[in-house]
Amino acid sequence: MACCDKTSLHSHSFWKALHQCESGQTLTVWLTAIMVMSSVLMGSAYDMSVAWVHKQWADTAAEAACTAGATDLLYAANHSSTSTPVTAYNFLPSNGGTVSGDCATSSSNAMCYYAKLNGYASGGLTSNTPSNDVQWNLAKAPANTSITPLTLSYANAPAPYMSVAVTENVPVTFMGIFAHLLGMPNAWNTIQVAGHCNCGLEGTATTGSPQTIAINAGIIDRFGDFEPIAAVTCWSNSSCSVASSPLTGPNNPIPPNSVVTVTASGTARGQGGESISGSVDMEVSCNGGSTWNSVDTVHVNVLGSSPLIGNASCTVSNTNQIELRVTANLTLGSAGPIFPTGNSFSVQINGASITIPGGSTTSLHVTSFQND
Amino acid sequence: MGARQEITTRSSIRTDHTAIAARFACDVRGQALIETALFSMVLVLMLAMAANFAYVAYIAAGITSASRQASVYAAQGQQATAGNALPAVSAACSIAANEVNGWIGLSSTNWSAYAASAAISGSSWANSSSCAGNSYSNAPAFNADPESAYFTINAVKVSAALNPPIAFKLFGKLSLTLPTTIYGRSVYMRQLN
Repeated sequence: MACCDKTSLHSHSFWKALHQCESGQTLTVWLTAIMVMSSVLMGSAYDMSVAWVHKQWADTAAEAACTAGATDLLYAANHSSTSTPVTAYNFLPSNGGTVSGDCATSSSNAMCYYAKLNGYASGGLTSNTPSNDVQWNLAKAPANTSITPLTLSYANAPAPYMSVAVTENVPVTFMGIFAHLLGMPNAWNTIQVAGHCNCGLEGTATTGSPQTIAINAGIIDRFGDFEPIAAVTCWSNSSCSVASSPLTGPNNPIPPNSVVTVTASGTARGQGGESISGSVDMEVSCNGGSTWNSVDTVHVNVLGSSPLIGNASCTVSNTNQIELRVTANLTLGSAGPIFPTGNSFSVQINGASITIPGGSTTSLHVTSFQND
Repeated sequence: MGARQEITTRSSIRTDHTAIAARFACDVRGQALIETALFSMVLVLMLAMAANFAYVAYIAAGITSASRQASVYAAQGQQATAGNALPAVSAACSIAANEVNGWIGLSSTNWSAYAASAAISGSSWANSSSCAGNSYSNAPAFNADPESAYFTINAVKVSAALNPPIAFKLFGKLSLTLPTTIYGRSVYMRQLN
């Protein structure tokens, strides 16, 4: 109304007149409000978009960390073990229970290593400061699923499921500015996002029965042929040995680093059946391929012609075949009946058998149940 | 008489700056249009910037997803039953490529995918595959698994050159377009051989 009061306009400056002019004020206020609101919305959208990308990164890191831990579980299950293969990175409880951890306080495990590789070093969360944290736990059942939980049947087996949570305080730009303008300098410096992953083992968890194969009766060689092993007799004061051809086990594939039990038997006697005294060391070795990787010695005291029976165990590294070697070395003793001078003696390996553990759970594999 | 007096009045107004100013201040005709136009310029600029950023965020999330899916496939693929071999790195690379293919705004010449895996106790990538041949193809940095005697590590890296879809210049001179940036994401996952 005062806008067109020309009398007053002639006596005031332009700016004063403009100030007095009220026409169009409503539009200006509205446009300013729209501008402010648009800035707030777009600024918030920018910050939320950044947070969403960080959320994807956190999800990815959580899945990588979870599956890394689950591979340790798989390895332990395949070897009926209660520990990861490298002790320094062991996180499995020895009593078969559940356990949880935070990478900010203990990072020597596969989960923390892979979370770090994927961008989350987990220094611990600090309020309103860009930071992140990785937490994990073992569980006996997968979270948020209706599947029937798997149970590993060997003693003190670890819980077969794992969950990992990656939490990050993501720095925000515009929302922080708005918060400062509204007098909240310590608010909205960051926005918290989290990635989760539930994973674990899946597949058949039945434990096979141990199987014993007598190799004195015969073996199936690498070509699938049946090949008998005859008893070996040594007629010297040295040694004699018998070795099997590569043996394909019944629990194929044999879990790597399985401990197999070997039983060897034989007799030691002098020529004509005289009893002898002394001892026989039967060395039992086995391997899973080209290298004999384990030797165990059975020390059997010999008196008379009693059968020699010894048990040994060795570890095989191959996954599908075992080769066995039994060597007997006789050391004559001074006590006991002595057979006539000039007579020879014999050590006879009648046979050996190998028992392959039935704890193989080779149908297990790692899977992710939920990622969000 | 009336006409002459009007001319005289107009003449006096022309020489009176205060009066001129007052006239502009009082004349509300077209004011709303000018104000709306000025605000609209800023709003359109903001909308364009928002659209460009949304595009960058979309591609960034997609690249993260592609490298993640390919890495999961490399580490767990074909493991439904025991004893099956893990897929070759070239197959993992193809997974990443399939994820990226078809994205609007990403031609085949401005993105790359690279998959690599290590051997047991390896100190470098033993197998690698690049399935998008452009200048952005380079292998992800090698990192050994902490239990490398028993496990191996594989990685998939997807990179892309991001060109914002809306280009504009202020007064035809000052470019307000986001510059072209190379965005790459590597994902590392463990596999049990």
